[in-house]
Amino acid sequence: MWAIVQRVLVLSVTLVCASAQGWEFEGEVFGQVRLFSEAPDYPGQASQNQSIAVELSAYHEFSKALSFEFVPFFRQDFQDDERSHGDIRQAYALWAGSNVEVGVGINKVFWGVTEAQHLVDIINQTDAIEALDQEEKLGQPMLSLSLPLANGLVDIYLMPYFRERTFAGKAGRLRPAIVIDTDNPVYEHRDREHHLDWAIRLKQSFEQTELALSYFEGTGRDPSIVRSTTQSTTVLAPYYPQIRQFGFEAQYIRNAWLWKLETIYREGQPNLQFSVDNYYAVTGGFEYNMYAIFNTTHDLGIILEGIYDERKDLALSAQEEDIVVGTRWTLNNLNSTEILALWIQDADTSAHNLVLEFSMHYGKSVAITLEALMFSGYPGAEPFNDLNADRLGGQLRQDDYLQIEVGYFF
Amino acid sequence: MTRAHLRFPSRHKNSTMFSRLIVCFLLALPLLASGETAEQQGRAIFEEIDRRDLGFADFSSRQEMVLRNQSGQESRRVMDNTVLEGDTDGDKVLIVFREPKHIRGTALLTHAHRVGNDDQWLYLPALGRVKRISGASRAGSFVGSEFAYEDLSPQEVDDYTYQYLGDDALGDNDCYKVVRTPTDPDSGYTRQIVWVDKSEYRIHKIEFYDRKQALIKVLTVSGYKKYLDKYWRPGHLSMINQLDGKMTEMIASEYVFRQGLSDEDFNENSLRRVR
Repeated sequence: MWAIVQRVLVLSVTLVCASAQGWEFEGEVFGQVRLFSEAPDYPGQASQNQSIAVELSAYHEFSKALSFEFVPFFRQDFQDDERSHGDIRQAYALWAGSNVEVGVGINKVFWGVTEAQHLVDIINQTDAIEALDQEEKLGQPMLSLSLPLANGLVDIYLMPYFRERTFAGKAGRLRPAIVIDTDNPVYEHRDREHHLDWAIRLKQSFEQTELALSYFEGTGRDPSIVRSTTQSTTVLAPYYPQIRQFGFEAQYIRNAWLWKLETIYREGQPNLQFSVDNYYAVTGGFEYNMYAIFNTTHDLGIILEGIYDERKDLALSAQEEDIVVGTRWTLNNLNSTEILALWIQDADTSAHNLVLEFSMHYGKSVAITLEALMFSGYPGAEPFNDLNADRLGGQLRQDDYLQIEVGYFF
Repeated sequence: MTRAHLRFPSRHKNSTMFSRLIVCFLLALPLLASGETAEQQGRAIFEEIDRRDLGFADFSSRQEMVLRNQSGQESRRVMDNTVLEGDTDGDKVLIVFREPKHIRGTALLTHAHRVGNDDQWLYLPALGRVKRISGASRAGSFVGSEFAYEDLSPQEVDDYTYQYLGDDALGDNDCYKVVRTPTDPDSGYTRQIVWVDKSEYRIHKIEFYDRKQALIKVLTVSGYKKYLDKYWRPGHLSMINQLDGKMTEMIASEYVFRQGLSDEDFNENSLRRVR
């Protein structure tokens, strides 16, 4: 990976320097503190966490049709070495013709319609060490082709290089009891991270309905976990199988209502007990928005979504049979204050999470966010050799936190 | 109620054949033929506004909003606004936010429809996600300003029913005064009183009345300039909330017309590559 990163860096820096005129430069710096309310469960974990992150962007238009964007990211974490990491989020040249769009380089692509989780979204690896919401992604090297249809679009992606998921290290919180050994990933395919993955997505809009069908074939982004025990130690290694995934997205809009559905069928992914188990999973529900409520300037949005994973207890995540209720309250004041609350309730145990988010900006360049995450009612994680999906979540139950983040944008 | 408005009915009542002819002659302005009802007169004024704006094809501008609350605190929003003229349906509008910087690159695409709810999509650059927005946002505040989405969205003649109230002088401008009633039940207003100047058919002032029939906001539009020798665009808009004294000033500049834009620049796919 490092060789590729170096090559992209050199190429990008050369490009930027070669024609410094006409480039747009932007950036943002974040200071982040996470305060954990409970004592850590596992040896070596810290009780709080401080980090600084930087994301820069250089953008240039060579012509109306041809553009290039370079976005490096780096986080320095003062407790967890694994969370100190850099990534090239984007280094992407895009040529937009009248009937075709061709892109080459490292880019970020989002698929999906639901809010509670992003089932169908598979092009980019999750930068899981950044946040738990699956919304921070690692840059994905790709060649992409977009063809517009009447009221629709076909996207085709070739992905020659695979990115491994990031995990917290020994000192990090929000990790399993045994640290995932990211230095020794296991691949099903002998080409390892160089396997050529590909994907296609077809999207169509019909008046108030939007539908999308997608297919992915290649190295699965979600690792199954391989467990190996020597005399004294147990090691957990990420295992990246070859998978095939069929995805379907639907959205129906009617007045203030947005009905949403995402479903996948995946072949080739080993489950929690490491046996290959083809499965389907669904997320669906609605979003309802109210504007200028009670004669104020406030807006209020409500979401209700259900999550179902056919593997149930053998799913790779604790969100396998859950109901998610959420509300977003937008105050429409000078500081653009927004408050988000999410309740994630397991359907057959008392396990639940509460997420609270508060955000505002100060002046034109500063943004402040507070985020609180609470785990409640989860079963204990032990014994570790008999895990189920809920007890996966149980491994994090001491990790309630309050995160304070201040961003400066320039 | 203006004097001009009161004068109209009395003139008809007392008119002889001769004076009626004179009145007809005086009113032979194309829109106000004496046989028309106040509804028709009102609608005709807005059809004329619409007609005079035909053929601009596309234009863009930078808009700077200054939001001010009761205690004088200020906050700024800056955005680039691009409009594509609709031929068979309503206009398409793309708004890209520049400030505050934490939402820079966020883009809102609206397809206005002559009939029914507009379609709206939001592009969130941090996620690379295009998110559909439900259609009932019209009455909502636009990024915390005193402008509602519906105040800024493209206006179609059929969005309202009209009633001509009479003439009124507004500063140096001799204006028609028309009350219009939104046809959309999701609108935050029961009616708006609009001042339109007679010489160029430009809107100079709007009074907005809420669901309780109370005057809630007053918009003043000024700094009009003519582009391409035909299309008038304002340089300054001021929206003052009559209930709490909050206000939003909007300065519009850098108008550029006819960049050769097309539908392909206003769809979900182009939204993904907005800068």
